[in-house]
Amino acid sequence: MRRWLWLLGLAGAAWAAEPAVTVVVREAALKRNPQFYASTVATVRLGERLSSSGAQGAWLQVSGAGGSGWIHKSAVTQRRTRVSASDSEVTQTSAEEITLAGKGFNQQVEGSYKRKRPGSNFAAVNALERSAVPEEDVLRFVAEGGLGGER
Amino acid sequence: MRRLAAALLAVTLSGCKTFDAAVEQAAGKAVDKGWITRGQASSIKKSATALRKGAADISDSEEYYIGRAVSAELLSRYKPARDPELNRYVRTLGQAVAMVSDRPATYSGYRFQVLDSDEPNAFAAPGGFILVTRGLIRLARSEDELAAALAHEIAHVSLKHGLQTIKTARLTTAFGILAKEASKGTAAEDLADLTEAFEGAIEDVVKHLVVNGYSREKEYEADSLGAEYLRRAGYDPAALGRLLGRVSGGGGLLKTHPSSSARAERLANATTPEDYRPSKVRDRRFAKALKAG
Repeated sequence: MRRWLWLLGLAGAAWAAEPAVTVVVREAALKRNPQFYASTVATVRLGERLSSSGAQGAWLQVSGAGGSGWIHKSAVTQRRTRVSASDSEVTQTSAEEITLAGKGFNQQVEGSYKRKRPGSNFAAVNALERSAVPEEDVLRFVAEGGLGGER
Repeated sequence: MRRLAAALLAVTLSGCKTFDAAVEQAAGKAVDKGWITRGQASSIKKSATALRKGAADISDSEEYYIGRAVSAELLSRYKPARDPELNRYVRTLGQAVAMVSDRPATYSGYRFQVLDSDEPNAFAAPGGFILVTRGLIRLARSEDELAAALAHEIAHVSLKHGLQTIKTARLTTAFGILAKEASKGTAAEDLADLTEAFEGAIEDVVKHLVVNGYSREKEYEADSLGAEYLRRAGYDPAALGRLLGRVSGGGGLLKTHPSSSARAERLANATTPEDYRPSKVRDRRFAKALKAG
């Protein structure tokens, strides 16, 4: 029985073998065209897997649960790495895995650091993080200023 | 073992491009000299790879937490400017440039803050937290020139220059902990070690941002990449050279080796493109935003 399950799993994996990428930033835009100032058609989140069907310069054409579009290569990883458990082999943890697992220097470490450095102004950083400008405002700023264009 | 470490250090300092290459060379030399066997050399290479960690191996999420803590430190030394209109303008402009960079999306995105200081200065913390003083903003004579200052800082983030100032020792501690087959959560002892390594990392970055500055190479890199970002966005790539050429003295962005005039000279071939379009809209909104500042 187990052998059949194993073969089934393998077949399933083969069937879903389209090149896949994983989002490694909190939020990334899927753009209508492979251009910096193209409008966003969907937003994808950390850990989402997208299937990739093409590339142009620094952009990948992808699709996922939320839709299809072009994503900047820097927002995803194509690596499929595993952490090895044996003693004799080198254990290699990729940076992407650290992000996806929320390990390393993370929120817990920040909490511990804050207790050691009470003079640090994290309140100002939190306020700064809330100060994002909506993308539509940025694109309007670009258009009104005669910026952008095909480059 | 100490001789091997010395050999390794000598090789690394001699300019090997990668840590792996340095270890391989050092191990090879040690075998030639008969200090260690081939078997030992091979296991050194393996454990060195496990320990190896440079800026390239810092994850996007870690970069973000490092950037937060660096910014928290800077914002305890410099007051954020209370000027909603100026901040809004700088933030929108900054996003417009960040969107055309080689890293338009960092883990949590770019953020820009004006600082209430007359000293011309700008700081790019890892992850995209960019702080710029009123003093620096006032040096710009146009939106293009302000965009140029921001483009330079964005380039530092894109190139991970801040992360590269972190001493490897901070990272090997962290990596050593990560390489353990850890389950959920982090043991108290590991957390204490990680926190200490984190503290050290923050200290390294802040010291470079506030005191030492970046190396000549890093500044030149950020200048030429910044000029490229200006071109992509539709700004005049020559604007950065103009800004630098006008300055003498000043701090931060401007307090570097090499001097501003040397940097301006190097940017001389970033000329205004033929299809460059000036804009009255940009001139007006720049003047309006700076009036309050």
